[in-house]
Amino acid sequence: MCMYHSHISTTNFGKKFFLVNSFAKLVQKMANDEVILLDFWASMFGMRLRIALAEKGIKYEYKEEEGLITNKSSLLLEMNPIHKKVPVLIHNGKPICESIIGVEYIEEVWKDKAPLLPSDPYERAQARFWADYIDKKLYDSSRKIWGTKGEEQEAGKKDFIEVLKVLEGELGEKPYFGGDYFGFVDIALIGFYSWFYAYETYGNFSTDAECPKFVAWAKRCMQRDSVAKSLPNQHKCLEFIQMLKHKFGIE
Amino acid sequence: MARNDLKILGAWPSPYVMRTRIALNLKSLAYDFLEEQYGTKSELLLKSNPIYKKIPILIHDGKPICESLIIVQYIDENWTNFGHSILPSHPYDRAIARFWASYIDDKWFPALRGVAAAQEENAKKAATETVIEGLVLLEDVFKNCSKGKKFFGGDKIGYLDIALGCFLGWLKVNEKLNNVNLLDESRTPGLYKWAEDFCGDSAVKDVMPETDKLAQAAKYIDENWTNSGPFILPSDPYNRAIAQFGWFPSFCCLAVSQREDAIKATLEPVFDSLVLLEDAFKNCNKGKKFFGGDKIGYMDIVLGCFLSWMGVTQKMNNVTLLDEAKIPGLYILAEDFCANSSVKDVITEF
Repeated sequence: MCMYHSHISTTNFGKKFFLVNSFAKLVQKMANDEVILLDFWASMFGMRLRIALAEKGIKYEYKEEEGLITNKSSLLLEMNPIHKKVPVLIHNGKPICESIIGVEYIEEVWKDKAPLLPSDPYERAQARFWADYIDKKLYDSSRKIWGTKGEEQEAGKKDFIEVLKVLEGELGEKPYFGGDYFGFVDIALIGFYSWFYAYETYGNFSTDAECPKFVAWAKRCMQRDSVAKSLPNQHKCLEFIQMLKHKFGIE
Repeated sequence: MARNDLKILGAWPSPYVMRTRIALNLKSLAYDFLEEQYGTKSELLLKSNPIYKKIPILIHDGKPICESLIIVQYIDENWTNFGHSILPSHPYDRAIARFWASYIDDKWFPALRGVAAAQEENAKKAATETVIEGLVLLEDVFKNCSKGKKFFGGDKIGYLDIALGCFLGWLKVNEKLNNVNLLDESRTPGLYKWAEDFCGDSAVKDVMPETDKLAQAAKYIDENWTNSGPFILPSDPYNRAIAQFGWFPSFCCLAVSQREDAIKATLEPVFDSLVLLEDAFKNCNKGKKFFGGDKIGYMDIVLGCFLSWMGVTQKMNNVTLLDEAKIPGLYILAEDFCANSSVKDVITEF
C-alpha cells in the first residue's frame, strides 16, 4: 500500500518524496510479479531456468509436471501447445517456452541483477553459439548412451565424448565458460552433469578419465548454491532412467 | 569513425546467408560478400567455422560469428543506433520472436524439405500438410505480432520477418517443381500479402534470388547445403527431370509473342532449362538411348513432342537451342526419338 504522495515538486523535499514513492511502487510491482516454473525434476533443461532464477534471486513457484511421461497436465498443454514440453516459464500468466529463450528472457527482465550474459556483443554471440552447440549436440548423443545398445550405443558414446572434448577446448584454462564469472554457457551445460552417473553406468566409461577438465569445471559449478539446489542427485537420475527403460521396453 | 571491416562468407542461394545480408542492409552496413565455390570449402571457411564448417559466417574486424540467427542478433546489438531495432524492444515480444524463429528452423523448414524428399504420393501429401499447418500457425502469429502493420516486426522488417522470409524463394521453387500449393491467398491471406511486401522491401529485393535462378541452383544447393538429401527437387531422378521440364512450354509461348529485343531474354532461361535437362537425362538414361532407358518413356514423349516446335523457334528467331556441342545428350536423343518407329510417322519434320 502506497503511503506517499505522488506529486512532483521542484523543491528538494518534493523530489525526495517522488523518488521514495517511485521506489515504493517498484517494490510493490516486484512483489506482484508472479513467476511460475512448470518443470520436471530430472529435466536438464528445467535446471537451466532454476539456476538462472536462483542466480537472480527471483522468487517463483515451482510446479512439478508429475505426469510428464504419461499424462501431461492441462496447464502444460495450454502453456506450450506447440511442443507440449517442459520447462515453461510463466511470468504474470504469460508463457515463455524453450529453456535458452527462457534464460535470455530472465536476463532481460531482471537485467539489474547478476548478469548472465557478457555486455560485449561479440562475447554475447559466442555465448549464444556455445549454448546452441550444447543444444544441438549433447542431448541426442547422450540419449543413445542409455537408450540404445550395441553399435548405436557405441557411436553415441563416441559422439558424446567428442562433444565434451570440444567443450573442454572452448573452456581452456578459464574457471567458467563465461571467463571469471559463472554465466550463460555454464547454465546451459551444467544440468547435464546430474545425468553423468547414469551415462557412465550405461556407457561404461569414466568422464574423469576422458575429460578431467570438464569434471573439474562441473565440480566448481556444483559449489555454487544456485546449482547445488537446482540439480537432483545423480543416483536418483540413474533410477529414473532405469524406470524409463523398463517402462518403454528398452532393456 | 573507421569503416567497418565486414565480410560475409556465403552463397547467394542460401536462405541462411540471406538472413545475414538482410540484417546488414537494414542497418545500411557495407560488407564484402565472399562467395564460397561449388564443391569446396575455402580455408577461410574452415578456419572461421571449424565446428560446423558451414556458411553463413560474418567476419567483423577479423572475428568470426557463426549461425545465421546469432549473426542477426549480433548485428542488431553491435549497431543498436543504426537503422531500426531488428528484435522487438519488449522482453516478452523478443521471447515470442525467438520462439517462432526456432520453430521455423527446427520444425517448419525441415517439413518443407520433406515435400521434395518424399518418394511416394502419401508421404508427399503428409509433408505438404505439415508445411501448410505450419503456415496456418504462422498466420496467427503474424496477426498477433504485426497488429495490422505490414511485417511481423510492425512497420519495419524485424527478426521473425527475416527468420521466415528468407525461405520464400525456396518455397516458391518448391511449389513449382513439386506442383503443390503452399502459401495460399485464401488460406493465409496475411502471410500471402506479407510475402509480397517482404520480397519487395529495399533491404530484401537485391538479395532474394529470382525463382528460376534458384531452381537452376536447386541441384547445386541439394548437394552442398543440406544434411539430409535433396530438398527442393524431387528425389527420384525421373520425377526431377519432369519437374525441371515443366518450365518449357510457358517459355516457348513467351518467345513467340514477344518483340525481338525481348526474345533473347526469354530464350536464355529456355536454354538454361535444356542444360538442366541434359543433366537430368544423364541421370535417368544411364548410358541408354532414352530417358526411359532402352525404350521411349514418359519423359521422352513429353520432351519429344516439343521437338517440332523447338525447330520452329530456332528457325524463326535464328537461334540454336538444340546445340550439339553444349547439350550433346539431348541432341542425340532428339535424333533417336524422331527416328523411332513409333514416332516418325506422327512427328512433323523440323
